[in-house]
Amino acid sequence: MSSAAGSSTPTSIAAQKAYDYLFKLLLIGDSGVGKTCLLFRFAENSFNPTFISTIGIDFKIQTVEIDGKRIKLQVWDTAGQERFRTITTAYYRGAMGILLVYDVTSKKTFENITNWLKNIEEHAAEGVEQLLVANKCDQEDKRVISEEQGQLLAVHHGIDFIECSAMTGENVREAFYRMARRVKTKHESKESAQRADGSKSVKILSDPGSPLGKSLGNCC
Amino acid sequence: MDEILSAESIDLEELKQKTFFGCPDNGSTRALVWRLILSALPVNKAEWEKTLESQRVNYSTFVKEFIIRPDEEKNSASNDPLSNTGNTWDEYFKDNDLLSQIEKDARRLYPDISFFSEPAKYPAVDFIHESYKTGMLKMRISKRNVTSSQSAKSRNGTILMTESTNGDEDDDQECKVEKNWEVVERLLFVYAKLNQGTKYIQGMNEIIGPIYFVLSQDPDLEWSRNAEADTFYCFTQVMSEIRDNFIQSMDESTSGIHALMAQTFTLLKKHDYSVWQVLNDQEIRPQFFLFRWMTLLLSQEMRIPDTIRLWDSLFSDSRRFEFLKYVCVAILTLIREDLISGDFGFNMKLLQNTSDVLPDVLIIIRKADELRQKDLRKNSGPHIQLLSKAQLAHSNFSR
Repeated sequence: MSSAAGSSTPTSIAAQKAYDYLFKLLLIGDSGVGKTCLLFRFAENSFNPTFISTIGIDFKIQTVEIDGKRIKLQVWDTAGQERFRTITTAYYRGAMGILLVYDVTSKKTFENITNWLKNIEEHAAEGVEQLLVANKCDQEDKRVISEEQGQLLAVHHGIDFIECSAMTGENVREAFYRMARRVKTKHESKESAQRADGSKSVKILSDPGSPLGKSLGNCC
Repeated sequence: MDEILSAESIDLEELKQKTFFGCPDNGSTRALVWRLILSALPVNKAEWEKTLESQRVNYSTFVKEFIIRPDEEKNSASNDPLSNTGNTWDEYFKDNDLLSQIEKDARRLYPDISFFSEPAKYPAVDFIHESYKTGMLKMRISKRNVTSSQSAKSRNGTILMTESTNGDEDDDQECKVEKNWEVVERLLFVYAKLNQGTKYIQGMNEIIGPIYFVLSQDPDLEWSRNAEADTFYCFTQVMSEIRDNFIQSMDESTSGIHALMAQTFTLLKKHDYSVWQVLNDQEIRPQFFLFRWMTLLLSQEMRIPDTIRLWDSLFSDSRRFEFLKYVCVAILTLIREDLISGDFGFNMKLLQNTSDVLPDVLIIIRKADELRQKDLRKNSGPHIQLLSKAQLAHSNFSR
């Protein structure tokens, strides 16, 4: 009964152009490195030391402005434990940027970055933007991974690197902005390349209407 | 309910029919009922004493076996890990990895209530005996420092103050006092050691938390002083039925979490096509929210009193957590107006932070029951017919 009545209801889609681009970002890394805290600091600009553990996947939206463009960031926050790998790797493919997080006070989380990189290689789209994020840099007395070690690993894998602290807020905004800027640059250069082709696909590419950024899917 | 409970042999089915509609919030009833309907306590009262004693003795044996003995062996055998031939130390360090994982999650259990950071009334320290102090888990893992009076914010945004626990200053003091979360930590550690196939998976803390909360606050001291051991058996019973949700290799099986989520979506399609269509069109997959809802029996979506009330019904469900699917569908239909008008971002936010918008838990349960009754009525028609035909055939045959 209810199905007949419901089938005519149109699906609502945000009609206004509230943003120019929609980018999907993903946070990965071992359990307890502070992924949820980083996202919370970025989205709410505050720190919560007692976050409950993320089960499966969490989600936040934050709009930022870069070079006059309003960019809606859809950030997916994943559970770190091995058990959730099958659930979380499903999100890799749609991601345009991936932030790999480790904890400077835990050697194991740093060593595991190599495994996380393998996961990206296996499951993410080719050429996805990556940023190695060292969290908890405020805890100097407990630090076991130096900034140089982090830098070296990043260089070795040809990715960008940043140290930050969700607790003090240091560099957190910077990390997400840097990621957004890189995705934007890549996106725009592809867009203009396609525009140079002079064909029809241009309009669709920058259409912000699609909530999932589906139209961007092909290019990223 | 009191009448049912006062019988020498308790009628479990009758009890479940009553407790499905909720246990009283005061007194000892709920703690007792949960033990009964989870089969951690026999229906025959004459067997209680024996069963309880053996369970409690068993539990303290596990604690000795997994926590105290390894510690003593480590201390007596050799203080040098390198000179030892191996197994003990190897195991000990592996355990410590497991432990630090559990500790992280037990520590951050239900930050919006103070209970878990308060001292436990009857920790195992008391009932196992003095030697346990050497085996207190907190001695084994390096302390993370938690600064005093941190303000914390729960998922739904309530600001609260966590109790102050200074890192080093009052270490001595701290070692003597055991907090409720540390009891939960020990319970999970023992469970992980006994269940090598599952070990510890994040989220188990959210299942054991409310059970321990209920049992340890029983005003009847004879019961509450054994809350830890009894929680262990209740938790083990619950896990035996929902374990598959936690096991990765079971994900794709017919009893795994993916099947459960798919069945729930099918149920939603049947009972509220419009909502199903919105989620489907916006590509909001069941695993975006149902994964957490279902694995944790909705414990992260509600405040703890509501979770406990919901669990009265879930534990009383004779078809074991079949009702959970209806509860999830009920929630979705109760917030349908929001979902239908929302876009992808709005709806995702809503589905992941339901505690702000959810109606009273009783409304959810009533709605879920209504949906289930509807299905039962539909299904019972042909079922009865079939049965009577068979009976008819049988009677014809016998004639």
